[in-house]
Amino acid sequence: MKKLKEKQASEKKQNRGAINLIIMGLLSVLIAVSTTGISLAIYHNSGDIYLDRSRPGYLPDEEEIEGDEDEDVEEYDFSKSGSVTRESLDEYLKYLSQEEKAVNAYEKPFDAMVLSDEHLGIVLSDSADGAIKDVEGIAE
Amino acid sequence: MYNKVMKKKGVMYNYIISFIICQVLCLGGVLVFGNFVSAEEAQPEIAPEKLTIISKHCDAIKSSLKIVQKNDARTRVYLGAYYEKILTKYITALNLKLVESNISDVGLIENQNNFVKTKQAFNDDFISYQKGLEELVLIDCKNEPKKFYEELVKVRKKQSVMTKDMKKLSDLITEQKNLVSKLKEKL
Repeated sequence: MKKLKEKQASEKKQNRGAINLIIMGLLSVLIAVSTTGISLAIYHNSGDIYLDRSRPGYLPDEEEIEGDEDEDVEEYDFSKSGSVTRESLDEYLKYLSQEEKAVNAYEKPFDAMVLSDEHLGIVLSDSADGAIKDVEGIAE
Repeated sequence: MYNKVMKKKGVMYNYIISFIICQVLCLGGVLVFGNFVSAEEAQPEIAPEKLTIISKHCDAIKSSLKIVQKNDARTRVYLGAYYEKILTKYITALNLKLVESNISDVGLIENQNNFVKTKQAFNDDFISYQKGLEELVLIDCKNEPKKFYEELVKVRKKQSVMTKDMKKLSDLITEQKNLVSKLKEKL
């Protein structure tokens, strides 16, 4: 009788152990899901998602990259050793001008026209319907 | 006795875990759903005909805005890379070399500080602009054309701030060239 009771007691302990293990597993999953969700929310709310250069769909595809290779700015490393001379500064100015040219060559960055009423088709016209610009025209 | 102690410890353990989870969920809730209220500027009157047009052509307008969103993100990547390159490889590199050569030029250091601040402002303003665009695209312009147009006006203002930031950065690059030319004359 005593042995039976001991056996039952040990079985109960084992079952409790199994239940505790399941609870621990569920809690771990819950913590993992909630911390991942919070991280994603912080990533979105902080604005880093908008600066993420690797974000899918926001980088040009290979076939979309246009450009003359000759216009690429030559790689230049300002020499960290040696003294500052007129010649080194001349070279520095030459390459800095190239970088400046590349920046200024970008066509109409943040052009105000693309958000204008005319471009979005929110124009008051004589006809009942507003004129809607070709959506593809904006991508050009 | 031992079992009682273990049972109490188990209960306490559960309480502690539950408390930690509640704290994490509360913090998460604040971060995810927390919105700060700010005073809104008075909006100009919108012609009712414009509201009708917005409502009627909502899908086309939203498609245009999504293209703008994508193009502007690419613009930031392109320009951001160049600004970063100019800052690290040109402006900062020159100042470090001048320090090593015991040449002091307050103008160049000040220009570097201004460039860093303006570049950060460019990034911050871009985030604000893109957030505005995203919220704009999410508005149901078929049923809420007035709200949509008001938000569009706000986004236009944010876009104009981007243009100002770019102009400032461009001026700072020109200033850098001028300062280096003056330094060259002194050598």
